[in-house]
Amino acid sequence: MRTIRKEKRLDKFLTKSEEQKTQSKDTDTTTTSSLFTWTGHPFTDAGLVALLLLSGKKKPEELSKEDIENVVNFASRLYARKEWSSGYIHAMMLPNSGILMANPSMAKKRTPEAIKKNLLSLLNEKEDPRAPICEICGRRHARIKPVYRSDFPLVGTGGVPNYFPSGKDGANICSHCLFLAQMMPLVAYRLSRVLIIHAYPYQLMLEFHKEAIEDIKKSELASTARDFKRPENFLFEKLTEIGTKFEIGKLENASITLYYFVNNNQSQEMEVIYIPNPVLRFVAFAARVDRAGWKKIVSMGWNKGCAKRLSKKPEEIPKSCSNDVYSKLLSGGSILPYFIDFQNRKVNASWRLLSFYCSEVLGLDREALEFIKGIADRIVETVEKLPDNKLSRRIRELERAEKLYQFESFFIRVEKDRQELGIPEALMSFDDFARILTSYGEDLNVSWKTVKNLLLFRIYEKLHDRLMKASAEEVEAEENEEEFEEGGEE
Amino acid sequence: MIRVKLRAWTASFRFPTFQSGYQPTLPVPPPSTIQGILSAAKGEPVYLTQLPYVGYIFKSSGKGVDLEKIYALGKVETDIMKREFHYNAELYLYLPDEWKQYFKRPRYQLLLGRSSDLAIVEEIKENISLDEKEAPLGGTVVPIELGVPGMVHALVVEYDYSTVPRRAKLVKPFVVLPYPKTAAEKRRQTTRGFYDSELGIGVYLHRWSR
Repeated sequence: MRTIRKEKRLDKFLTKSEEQKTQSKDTDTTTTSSLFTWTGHPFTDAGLVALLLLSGKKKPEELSKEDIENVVNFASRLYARKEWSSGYIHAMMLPNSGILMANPSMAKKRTPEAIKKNLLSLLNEKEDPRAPICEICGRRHARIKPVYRSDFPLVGTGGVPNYFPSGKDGANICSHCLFLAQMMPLVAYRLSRVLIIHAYPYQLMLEFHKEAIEDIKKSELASTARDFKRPENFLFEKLTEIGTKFEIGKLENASITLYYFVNNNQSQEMEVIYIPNPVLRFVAFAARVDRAGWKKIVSMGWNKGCAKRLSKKPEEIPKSCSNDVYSKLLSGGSILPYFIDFQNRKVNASWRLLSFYCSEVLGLDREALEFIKGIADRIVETVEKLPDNKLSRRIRELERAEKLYQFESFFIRVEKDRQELGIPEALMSFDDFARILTSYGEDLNVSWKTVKNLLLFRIYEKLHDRLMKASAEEVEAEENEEEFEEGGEE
Repeated sequence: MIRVKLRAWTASFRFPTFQSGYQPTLPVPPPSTIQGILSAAKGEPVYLTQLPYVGYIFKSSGKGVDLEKIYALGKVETDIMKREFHYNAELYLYLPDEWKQYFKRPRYQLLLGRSSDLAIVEEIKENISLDEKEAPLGGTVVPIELGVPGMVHALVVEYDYSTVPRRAKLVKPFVVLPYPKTAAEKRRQTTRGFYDSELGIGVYLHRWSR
């Protein structure tokens, strides 16, 4: 937690006209000297990523005219092919594109040279100072020629001009941003729709789209994202891989937004999936610190019906099935129960990973976490002295606590156990008891059920072997009882 | 400083370039929507780059998707669009004192996005004092340089209304920060800034006049 400095009144701020404090972080958003800049728009930034990756550069200002021409040559050669033109660009991204000549009527004239000429002419297009500024980069004047969705995905058509200012002129986008949008197909992932992973800092975006370029170099076809059918599954898979390379500190202010869209003559759809920063850092942390644990957590989340259907092709499950762990992480829900295998009374991951998740994603402060851990250790200290059958029964009471009063009763029983066993000092004070039952109830993510799961995690971690042995004995005893009862009836 | 509270049943803030088929809403209004609201209240074009400061906080009870029938301009044709919208929306504006008169009797209707997203002025509070401290930000956009993680997007700050059609005057990339709903989210979005103790949220004062 950062130190809070002495408070200052707002009127002082207003009268002194002090500069509003901004942390000079790694920004790279506006470099007016270079031909292209990062804009914050996912489609133009993706185009810039293509230029950088194909040129082996990291920053827009490092791009030379030669680099740009080389990429244009590369792109034009691919775009002239049918697999790209009608099968991808026209079908999913830029229907009837005149610039990339994806319009079916242009098939006969479509050549790499013609496409290259169109692309370079965008860069050489003269600016008209009477035109409005570009609504994406804000640096240059918008193109005079209207920009519709055939040239820039999803901006709307002249056919339904309701959303353009004045209702007829198309979007105000400059020729350079339009050029970058034409480069986007090179780095986009082709799932059932088109996936763009927009990341900040932008260097992270280069990492996420590197694979697309590598795939194109190998097959000369757009990357299919390893045949993943779900964008979030692909993202989490990549994040786990990238997370092992990145230090957690480098992801401190990182953010990722997935733009999953289709833009053709039949339909235009757009899904915006924002990946919260703590989730990014948690997955990266899991990949570095407890990859096996993270794998187990994820494996518990697959949609059961889908996983059953694909049981003969298990490698397809992560590509096609929905996963509760992913959806909960994206929607702000808790994945705490997935850290525990209730059936086998064991933990799926290390306490270190659990602790990071609780503090960074759920927002539980470290002091509270240590407090709960301390209580759990004292429960363990008590119940491990009980005989196996009683130990199992006691823990089952905690497992089955669905109402607050049942949770409360568990502590009272353990307290009695302590007295019967002659363990000095109480399990907890009255204040601790009140805190554990009521203090974590305000936030949906951090309720008493969270405390229950944390306690169980620690108990399973310490007593798994004995609990499993006791469970097996219980089952055996129950079976014997049944046999006896059945025999009695006869 | 005054704080104006607006309320609307619905609000919808289109991503600047996503207007075909499905229109997702931004989590919070872009600065250009604030410019529109101020202009409607005053009854003439207002430029954020001429105000000493402006801050805003937006929150809603949730989001939904509406099916909207569109009558295409200039021809006898209709279309169906899917439009995402916020439900039960609130917008707090932090403005210099002279804005009290305009929000007391707004000249034109106030809208949180589209023409159907009609808003009312629920409260105008004077003598608002904000303290500088570590505070959770949210329900607003902040400059990327602030270093707070969130969705990055290019947004128009303000339009020039001296021409028809209007023209963008200033465009910048921003971090779009939703209103934090949980303690965990508040902690993620905490940075040093101004704090409205009454609402329990940080306020970023934009000063584009610089």
